[in-house]
Amino acid sequence: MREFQVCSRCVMDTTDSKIVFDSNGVCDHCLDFDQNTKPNWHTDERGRAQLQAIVEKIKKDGEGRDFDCIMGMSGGADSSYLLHVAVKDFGLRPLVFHVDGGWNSQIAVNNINVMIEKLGLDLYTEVINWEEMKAFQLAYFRAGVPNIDVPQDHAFVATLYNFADKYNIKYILNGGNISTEVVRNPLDWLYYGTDMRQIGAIRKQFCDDPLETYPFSSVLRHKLYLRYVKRVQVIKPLNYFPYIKEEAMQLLADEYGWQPYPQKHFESRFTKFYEGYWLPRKFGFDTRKVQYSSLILTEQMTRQEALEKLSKPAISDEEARHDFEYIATKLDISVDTLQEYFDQPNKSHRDYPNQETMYNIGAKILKYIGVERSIKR
Amino acid sequence: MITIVDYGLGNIKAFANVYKRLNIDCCYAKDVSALSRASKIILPGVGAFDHAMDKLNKSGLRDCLDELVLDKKVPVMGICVGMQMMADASDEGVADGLSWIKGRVRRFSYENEKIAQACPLPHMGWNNIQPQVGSALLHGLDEAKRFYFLHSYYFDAADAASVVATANYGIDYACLVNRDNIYGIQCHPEKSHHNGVALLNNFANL
Repeated sequence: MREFQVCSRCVMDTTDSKIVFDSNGVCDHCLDFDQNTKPNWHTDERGRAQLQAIVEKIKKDGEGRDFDCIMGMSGGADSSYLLHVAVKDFGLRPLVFHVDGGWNSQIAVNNINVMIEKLGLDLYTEVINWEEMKAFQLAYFRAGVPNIDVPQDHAFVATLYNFADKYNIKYILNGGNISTEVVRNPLDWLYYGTDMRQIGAIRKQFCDDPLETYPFSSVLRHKLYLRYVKRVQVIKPLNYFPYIKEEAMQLLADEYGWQPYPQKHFESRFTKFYEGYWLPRKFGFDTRKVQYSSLILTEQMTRQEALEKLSKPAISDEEARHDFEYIATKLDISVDTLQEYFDQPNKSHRDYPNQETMYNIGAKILKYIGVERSIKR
Repeated sequence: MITIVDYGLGNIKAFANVYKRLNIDCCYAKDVSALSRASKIILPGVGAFDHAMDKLNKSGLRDCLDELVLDKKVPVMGICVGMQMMADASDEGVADGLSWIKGRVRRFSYENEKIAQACPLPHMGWNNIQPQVGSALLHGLDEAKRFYFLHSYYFDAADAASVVATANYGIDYACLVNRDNIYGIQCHPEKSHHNGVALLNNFANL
């Protein structure tokens, strides 16, 4: 068994089984940032000018249309700030799209509502069939793999792409960003939610609902067909100017009455439970390490601060107990059944048919041609 | 034919998609000639009450709509703000409503701090509805009559007899109202999957 080691610069450690360290104890996430991401990441005048040019093109292509682009809105900090910048700073006219997987937190609902109202926009809500979502999520619990959030994640991605395709929208604004997400979750922790072979295998073995209306989209369709044949472009504006999360959240609070929440992705009740309890306690994977390491590399948090925060659990025992009951009740299973899922042997995505090899090849090609700077591994 | 009033508000395509899947003919009405051929009417609506009333009043469809609904008794279903427009007025604005069903639209408001915290606005998400009387609109729904809601205001009906079903969000409130040929529903059948499809089908078969 490998000896436990923490990176000397960020807080990633050997719970990421593929992590490697150099002679100074610095991990490959940090080295990848220095070598591949940082030299190509321009948040100064150069980045701003690049973004301005993209914005002009979006506006020109959108002339005479009700909307010039589409963006998904979760109520979290990244998408909320993106909406603010897109409308207020760049004068874009996005169709604001929310996919309700049934697990919105109260804070998420508030944040979506205050921003939409203040900016005078319409909100398009796509609602996932709750019975299907429930059946699909239970299948993932039964499969015992770490990434039980695939049913929500996949629905969010697929619905947005399906909508853009159907209504011929050429630009998708995405809140993904280097500033807070440069360190990626290892595949062992959060395997691809778009691997249709894996999804098919888990459905076949564990899902008793045919999922007739649930939105599916394969990675080949949305990364290749939609992008290169239908020319749907995904733009990540937050990479073109300084995006400092604390400052962004303060601005959103002051200007819109936006409410902060304790941790990234906690705008979904399910994801809060999953990343705050299930993943760390059942598998030993703490996604805060990835989030804090990103903030350390982009100089928004000190390593000391991160280590102090990590010394306490993401959610307290009492909150965990409450959430455990809430999740079981909402999924229409008993607390004992959920506990059984928790106690069953841990599986990996590699225990089920998957397309990991295809993803790895695709990721290498994307890195080679400069579309992706860092590799998820 | 089922006719969806197209006065520039609401995701009217969502209703058309449901009816297409049900193999039931439906069309949009942007002008009086299209609207006047309606055998059933769907009045959608999103956003603020005054804005919706203003759009409808300026659409040129208002007189024809009143005549079809009030004189010719063509069945009509108002959805979300479309339902709220059927009231006399709303706390949300100053415009007059259609006054098709007596009542006022009110904002959810809670004196009890705990309830207020548990019921933030808007009311967004799935909720069960409780039938108060039998209605053809509710045939064939799941036992748990779960529908999707997204609103901060509710229809406070003046006459309890017009309340067909209620939902609870801190208080019990009318989520489905009916008077004669006029139906209003607060939740979104077009987003409520199986139950919503069943309800829209029921409306088509009234």
